Amino acid sequence: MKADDEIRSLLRRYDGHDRAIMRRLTELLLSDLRRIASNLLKGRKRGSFLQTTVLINDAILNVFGKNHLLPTEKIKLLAYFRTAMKNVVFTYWRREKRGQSAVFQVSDKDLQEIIASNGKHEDKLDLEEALEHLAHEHPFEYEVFMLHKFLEMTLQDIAVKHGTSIWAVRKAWEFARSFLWQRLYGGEEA
Amino acid sequence: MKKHSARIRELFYSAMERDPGQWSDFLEAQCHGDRKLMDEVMALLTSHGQSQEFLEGSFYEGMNIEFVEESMSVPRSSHLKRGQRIGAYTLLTKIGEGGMADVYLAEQKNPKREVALKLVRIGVDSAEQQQRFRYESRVLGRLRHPGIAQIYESGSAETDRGDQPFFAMEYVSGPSLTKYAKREGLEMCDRLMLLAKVADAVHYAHQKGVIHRDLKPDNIVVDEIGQPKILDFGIARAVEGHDVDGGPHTATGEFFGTLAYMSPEQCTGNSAAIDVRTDVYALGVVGYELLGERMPYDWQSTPIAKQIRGILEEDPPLLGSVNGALSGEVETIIAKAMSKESARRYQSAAALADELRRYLAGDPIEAKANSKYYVLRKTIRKYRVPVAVVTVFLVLLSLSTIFITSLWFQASEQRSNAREATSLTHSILNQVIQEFEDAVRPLAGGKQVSERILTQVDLDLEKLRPLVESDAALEDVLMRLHEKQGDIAYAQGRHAEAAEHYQACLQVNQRLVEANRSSGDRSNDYRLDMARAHRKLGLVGGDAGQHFEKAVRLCELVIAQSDDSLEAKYELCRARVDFAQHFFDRGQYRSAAPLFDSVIELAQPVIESDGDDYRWTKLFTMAHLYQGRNLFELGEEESALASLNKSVELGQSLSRRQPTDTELRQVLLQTNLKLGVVHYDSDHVDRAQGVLEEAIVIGQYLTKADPSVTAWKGDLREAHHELARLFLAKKRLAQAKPHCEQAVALADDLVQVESGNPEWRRNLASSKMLHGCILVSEEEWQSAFETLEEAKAVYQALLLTDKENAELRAKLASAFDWLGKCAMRLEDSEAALDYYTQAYEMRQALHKGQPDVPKRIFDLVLSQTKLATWHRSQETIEHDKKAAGLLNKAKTLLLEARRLDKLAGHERRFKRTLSHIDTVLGRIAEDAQAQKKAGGGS
Repeated sequence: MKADDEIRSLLRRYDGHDRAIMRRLTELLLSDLRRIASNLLKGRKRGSFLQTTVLINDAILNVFGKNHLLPTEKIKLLAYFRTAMKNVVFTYWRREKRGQSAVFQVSDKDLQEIIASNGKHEDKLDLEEALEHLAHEHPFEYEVFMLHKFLEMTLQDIAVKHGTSIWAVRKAWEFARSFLWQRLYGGEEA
Repeated sequence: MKKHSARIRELFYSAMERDPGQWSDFLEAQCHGDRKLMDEVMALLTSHGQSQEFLEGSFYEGMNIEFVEESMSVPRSSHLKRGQRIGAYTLLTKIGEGGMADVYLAEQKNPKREVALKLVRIGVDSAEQQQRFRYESRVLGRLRHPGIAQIYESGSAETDRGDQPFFAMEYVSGPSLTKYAKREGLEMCDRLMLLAKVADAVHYAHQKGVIHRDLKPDNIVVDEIGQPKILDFGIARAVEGHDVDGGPHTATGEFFGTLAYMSPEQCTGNSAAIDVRTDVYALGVVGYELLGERMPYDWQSTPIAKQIRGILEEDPPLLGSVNGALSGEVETIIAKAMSKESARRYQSAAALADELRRYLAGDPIEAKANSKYYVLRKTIRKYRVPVAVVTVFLVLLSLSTIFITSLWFQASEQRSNAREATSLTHSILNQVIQEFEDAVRPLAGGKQVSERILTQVDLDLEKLRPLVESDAALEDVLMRLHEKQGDIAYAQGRHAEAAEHYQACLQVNQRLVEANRSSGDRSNDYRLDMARAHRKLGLVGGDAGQHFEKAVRLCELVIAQSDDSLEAKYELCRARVDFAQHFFDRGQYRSAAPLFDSVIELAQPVIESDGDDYRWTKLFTMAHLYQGRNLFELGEEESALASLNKSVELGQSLSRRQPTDTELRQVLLQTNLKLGVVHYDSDHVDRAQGVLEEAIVIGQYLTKADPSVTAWKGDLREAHHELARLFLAKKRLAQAKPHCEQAVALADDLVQVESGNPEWRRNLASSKMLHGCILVSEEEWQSAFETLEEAKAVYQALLLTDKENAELRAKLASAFDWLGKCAMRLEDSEAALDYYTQAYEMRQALHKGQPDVPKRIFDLVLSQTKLATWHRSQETIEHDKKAAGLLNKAKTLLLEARRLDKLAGHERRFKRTLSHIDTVLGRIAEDAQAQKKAGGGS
C-alpha cells in the first residue's frame, strides 16, 4: 500500500483514541510532525515563526501531492497533529513536575510512544482533565482551544479553516478559557 | 447533557453581550428558576473576568525539547533584507509567507513600480516544491486580465545564497471585496456590477484553462479605482484540455480550501467533477455574502461534518429572506449559481456575468426562461410604450387588411372602388412604413423585424403598381420605402446598398417634384424629402460634402418659403449636424464649430418652448455631444466638458423616458466615450475609467441586442481602445492589453464584415497602432515593429483614396514616429532616420494646411525633437549642430504660436515642451563647450 493511501485509510479510522492508529500515523507522518514541533519550539527562540497552518499545508502536499484530500480527512489530519502536540506538551510538563532534566531528548521511538499514550496516564495533570471535560461538553470550544494553544493557529486561521466567523471563534476561545479556569481555580474561589 | 451544555453556551454568549451589571437579571429571566443552570453560567461569566491573563503566552515558551535523529529541518526563512536586490527588484518589506515561499513588496526601477515579489525560500529544494513554484508562475503568467493580479516576470536571480527562483507580480493593495462594498456603502446595483466584473475575470481564467477552486472575498481585492482583482491562484488547476505541462493540481495555500465557499463536488472529493462550474458555485456564495452581508449558512459552532452535509443537502435561505430588497430576480440568480447539481448552475462564469448584466439592464433574466409568462411580463414591463404602439398597429393592420380584402372583391365589379381600395392601401402602407416601423426599429433586434416588414411592403407595392399607373400616392409610398430600406442597410453597415436606396429615393422624389410643379401644394414637403435623401447620401460616402450642402440649401429654401416651418428647421438641424460631422471627421474642426453652434441656437428655443418634445431634445442631446467633441479638438476643454455633461444629462433623462431607444443609447455611449477621453486628458483618470467602463457596458448591451449593427460594434471597439489607452498611459500594461486585444478583435470583425468601409479600416489601424505602443512599452521591439508596420500599411492604403484627409495623415505620421523608435532600438539607425524624416515632412505639410490648430503645431514640434534626438544619437559635432537647428526651429514655432494666441488652453503642454527643448539645447551647448575645451587641450 502506498504511504498516502495508508495514511488516508488510517485517517478515516482515526477516532483520537486508537493507540495503534496513532502509532502508525506517527511513523508515517514523522518528518512532518517534527517540522511542526520544531517550528513551534525553535521558532519562538529565533523570533521568526511560521504559521503552523503553512507547515500542515505543506505536509498535505508532501504526502498527498496531486491527490485530492477530502475535507473530513483533512480535519482528521489536523486533529492528529494537535493531539500529537498536546501529548508532547503534557509529557514535557509531567517530566518537569517529576523534576526530571529540563532538556527532554526525544527519539523517533519516544515520540511514537508519547503520541500513542494519548490520555492513558495515571498522573493526569489538572489541565489535562479539565480539557477532557471541555471536549466532552463543548466540542467546538475544545477544538478552538486545542488548535489555538497546541498548534498556535491564529483565531482568524481557525475561523477560516472551520468556515465560521472570527467572532464565533473568539467567543468559543473565551468560553473555553473561562471553562478551564473555572475547572482549575473556580472551586478555590468558591 | 448535550442540551444542557448547549444552553450553558447560549446563555454565556448572550450574557457576554450585556454589561456585567445586567447578568444577574438576565439569567434570572432566562433560567426560569433553574438555579443550577444559573449558577453554572454565572460561575463561567465570573471566570471570564478573572481568566483574562490565564493561558496567555505560548505553551512552548521555555521548553527544552531536542529531537534526536532529526532528519528533516524546517526550511529556513530567507532573511532577506530591505534594500537587497533580486534581479531587477529591490526588496522593501516582507508582506506574506507560504509553505515554501515568501512574498515581498519590492520596487522595480524600469518601469518604476511596486511589485509583489514571490521568492522560493532558501532551503526549499525538493524537486516537487520547485515544480509547484514553477507551475504557479506558469499558471499566473498566462493570465492577463484587469481582474486578475498580473505576473510580470518569472525567473531566477543569483544571490549570495545561490540561485534564487522568483516571480514578480502586480502589487495590489486594497480591501477585500466585501469590505470594500461595506466601506463604500455600495448600492445593490454596484455590488452586482462588481460581482459581474469578478465573474468576467474568472471566465477569462477558465478560457485560459485555469480553474481557481478557492474563490472567496479574501482572495478578491478591490484596488483604488474600484477594480476587483483576483489573487492567489495557488490551488488553481487546469481545465480539461488545458493541462499545464502536467503541473500539480494542488499547491501550497490549500488546506481546507475554504469550506464555506466549497461546492458540493469539492466536498465529496469528486475531483473528476470539478470544472468551471465549481468556480461558478463559489461566485454564487461570494455574491450571496456580498449582497446579503452574511454567509449562506449559519455555521457558528457547527461541526465540520455537519457543515459538509449542509453543503451537500441543504439549500441556504433565499437572499430575499435576508433582505427583502433582494427577493425576486437577484435571489434567483444567486440561487441558480449555487445549485447543488452543477448541471443546474450557470454553465460558465460568463453566463453568470451576462445574467447579472441582463438584470442590471432591466432585461429578462434567463434563470426564469422556462416561464413564458415571466418573459412576457418582463418584456412588457420594459418595453411598455413600444409594445403598446406595436400592438395598436398590429390590430390596425389586421383590421385594415380585412377591410381591403372586402373592398378588393367589390373592386373586381366596380373600378371606382378599386381605386378607393388602392388609395386606402397606400395610406396603410404609409402608416406601416412611417409609424409602425419607427416604433419597431429602435427596439433591440427591431432592425431585422423592420427589414422583413419593409421587404413585404416592397413586394406588395410591386403587385399594386400595375393596377394604378403614375399614381402619385404610390410613388410617395415607394419613396419612403426606399428611404427606410436605405436606413436599415446603413445601420447594418451595408453602405453601398443604402446608397442605392437613397439614390432611388431621390429619383422618385424628383419625379414627384416634377409632377407637383404645376400645383405646387406639396413642393416644400418634397424638397424636405429631397434634403433628407441628400443628407443620407452624404452619410454613406461619395461626394458627401456636396450632398450635405444641397441638403442644407434645400432646407433653408423651405424655411424661407414656408414661414419658419418647424419640420424644415428640424431637417436643417439634422443636415447641419451631419455636415459638421463631415468636417469633424476630416479634422476641419473650425469649419464644423459654427455649424454645431447654429444647430444649438436653432434647437434651444424649441426645447425651451416644449421641453417634452422627444425628437428635438434628442437632436439637442446629439448636437451637444458632437459640439463637445469638436470643442475638445479645438482645445476648448472647459466648454467641451460643459457640452458633454449637458449631453449626458439630457441623454439620461431621455433614456428614462424611452429606455428602448437604441439610437439614444448609442448617443450616451458616444458621450461617455468622449467624456472618458476628456477626463483622461484632464488627468481625472478615475472618472475617465468610470465613464469608459460605462460606455463598454452600454456597448455590450447594444451589440448583444443587435450584433448586426456595425456602428455599435465600432463604438464598443472605441471604448475598449480608449480604456486600453488610459491603462497604457498609466503603465498598467496588464490591464491595457486585454482591452486592446478586444479592440483589435472588434476592428478585425468589422473589417471582415465591411472590407470596403474606410472607417473600420482606420479603426483597425488605430487599434493595431495602440497594440504596437503597448508592445513598445513591454520592450518587445520586433513584435512592436511588425504590428506598427501593419498599422502603417493600412493608413497608407486608406490615403490612396482619401489623400486630403488630414487626420489620416496625422495618424500615419504618428506610425512613422513609433516605427522610428523601434528601428532605433533594433539598431537600424538608417531606417529610424527614414521614418522620422517621413513623419517630419508629413507634419510640416499638415501644419502648413492648418497652421492655427494646436495639435498640428505640437505634432510638428514633436517631429523636430525626434529628429533632433536621432541626430544627437550620432554623437558628432555636425549632427549636434543639426539637432540644435531643429530644436531652435521648434522653439521659435512654439513661441510664435503662443504669441499669436494659437495655443490657448494648452499652456501646460507648451511649458513642458519648451522646457524639454531648452534642456536638450543646454546639453548640446555643454557638449560643444566640452568638445571645444578638449580640442584646445589637444
